Amino acid sequence: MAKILVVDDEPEILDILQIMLEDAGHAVEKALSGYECLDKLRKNKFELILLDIRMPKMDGWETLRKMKEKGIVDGVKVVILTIEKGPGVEIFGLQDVVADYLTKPFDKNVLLKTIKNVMGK
Amino acid sequence: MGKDKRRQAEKNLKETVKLYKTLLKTASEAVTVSDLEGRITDVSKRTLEVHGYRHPSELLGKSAFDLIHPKDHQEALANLAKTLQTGSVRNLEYTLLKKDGSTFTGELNAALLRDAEGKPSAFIATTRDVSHRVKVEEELRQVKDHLQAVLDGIDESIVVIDAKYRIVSHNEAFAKSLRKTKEKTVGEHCFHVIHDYAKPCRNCVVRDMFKTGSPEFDVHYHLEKDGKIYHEVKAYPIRDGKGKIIQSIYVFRDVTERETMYERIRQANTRLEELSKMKSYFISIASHELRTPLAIIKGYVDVVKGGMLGEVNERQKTKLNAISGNVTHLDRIIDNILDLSKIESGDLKLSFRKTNLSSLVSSVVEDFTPLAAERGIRLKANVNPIPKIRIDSDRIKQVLINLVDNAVKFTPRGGHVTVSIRKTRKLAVIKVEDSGIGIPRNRLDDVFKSFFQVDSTRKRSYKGVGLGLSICKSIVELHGGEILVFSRVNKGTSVSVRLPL
Repeated sequence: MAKILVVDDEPEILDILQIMLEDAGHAVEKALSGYECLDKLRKNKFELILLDIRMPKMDGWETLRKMKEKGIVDGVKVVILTIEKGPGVEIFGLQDVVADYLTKPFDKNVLLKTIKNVMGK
Repeated sequence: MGKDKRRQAEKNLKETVKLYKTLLKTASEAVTVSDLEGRITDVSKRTLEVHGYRHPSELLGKSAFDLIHPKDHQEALANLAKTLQTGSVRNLEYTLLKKDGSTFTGELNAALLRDAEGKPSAFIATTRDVSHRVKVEEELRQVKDHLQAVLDGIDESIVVIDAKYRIVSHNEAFAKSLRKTKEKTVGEHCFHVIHDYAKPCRNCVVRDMFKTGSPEFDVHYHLEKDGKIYHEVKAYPIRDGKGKIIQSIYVFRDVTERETMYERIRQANTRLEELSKMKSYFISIASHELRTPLAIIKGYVDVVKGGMLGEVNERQKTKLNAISGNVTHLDRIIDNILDLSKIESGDLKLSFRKTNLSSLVSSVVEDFTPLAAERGIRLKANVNPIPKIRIDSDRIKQVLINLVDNAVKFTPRGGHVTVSIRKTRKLAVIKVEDSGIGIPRNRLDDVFKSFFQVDSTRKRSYKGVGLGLSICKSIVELHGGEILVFSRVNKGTSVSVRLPL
């Protein structure tokens, strides 16, 4: 149903997300880092990005800022994956970019419901 | 003798007597002349005044000893004999008598009069009333004693030091505080007496005070045989009539105990700060390191359970559900530990937003309905509308979930749990009542303490580490509210959360 890019430094998390999302009918591509994410965004068009925050070298916040700078996030919905909900979105001024958040460990139903909500807007 | 010579001699005598009488009359001193036996032969006007008499006739012919208090008679007699021997005695002090019987202190000088042949003929004494002086001397002595008593009563060492570092005077505490016995202190250099130095201390406040003209204070230590000795020292100025500083009052106190304790406290504080930083760091790392594997376990279990990797039979599904349940449980424990750590270090941040508390309560009850049904418990909501209230809705929801979870957990099959919300004039009151096992009265106070469990032997059937209620209490209190518990064993428990509107 939607073209989704999942970004996380843990390959197993990416695997789980891919299985769950493809099972629900979405098309999924994976990126293991912020750099890979930016790279993929330049080459392809996505409708939704699931972005992990805590990543080494370049974390989710910096990736988002770079995406915003390069203008490659326009029209793309972003859902951030985080251990804990914090004030990061407000602090980095990314309210216009981030649509929603999911905490780990995430629930399959919550995951799918969130995506449905975000895509529906 | 010729007639002329005799007439001349008589004239001389008359003049002499006249001079003598005039002298006696006009003398401002009290002069008393007596014969060799001490009988008064002549007195000056002043003598009468001093002893309270009006007319010479009252005293002439009386014994001089009548003017002296009996207690001094022996001494007076001895002095009389001395005067006879030596010719004069000076600065005698007697208690003298007045006509009315009262006494006063008098200072006497006595001399022996000789006749033309050099034979002793009379005694002549001058008396001065020194009562006033004696009184003043006595007062002075009392004042001096009083001041010394005050100085010696103070347990701080007080020393007066001159501009050349010499000790002028000191109190008893100073003498006692000297670690060695020193016979001589006055006149010696203070740095030598106190510290055994050859020259003034590096940070001498006395020197500073002489320089600046105002009191100087310091706390410092001196290195001695048995380690650091800390002194709290003060130097105050003593000025002369012209305002120039001539001496210093030097007060010092041994504060070694206090300072070493301060030092220990300072070190302990630094260590505590370091430990606190380390704790925060470890906990944030740990939470990430624990949650990632949890997410993977849960993710794969969900994937297998959901049939995404092939068909799963009922037995497999049940066991997989058990794994999921435990993952959730672990997750909650990590949450609680994180929360507790934040609460302890004051880092728990709340984001207040106007919330419809009534619908929050309804939604929580709704979420618990399946679980309650599974356990055969009647779950009811008694919701009254209340105005929107500024709260951190995520955290209050956490509290409500915790309370309802407990209620459901500890109520046996067939029981009931009621969640109600109402408002009073100033508060929103949420009550979670159950008909469960209750809490014994002697443990009611412990309920909100960390790690509390009603019965620790039943740990296995009632999952939980026991942190939940303590966190609930902190959250409610951070909202300016309070949480109360009422309970009867085997009858039930009622937990009341009151939040200010």
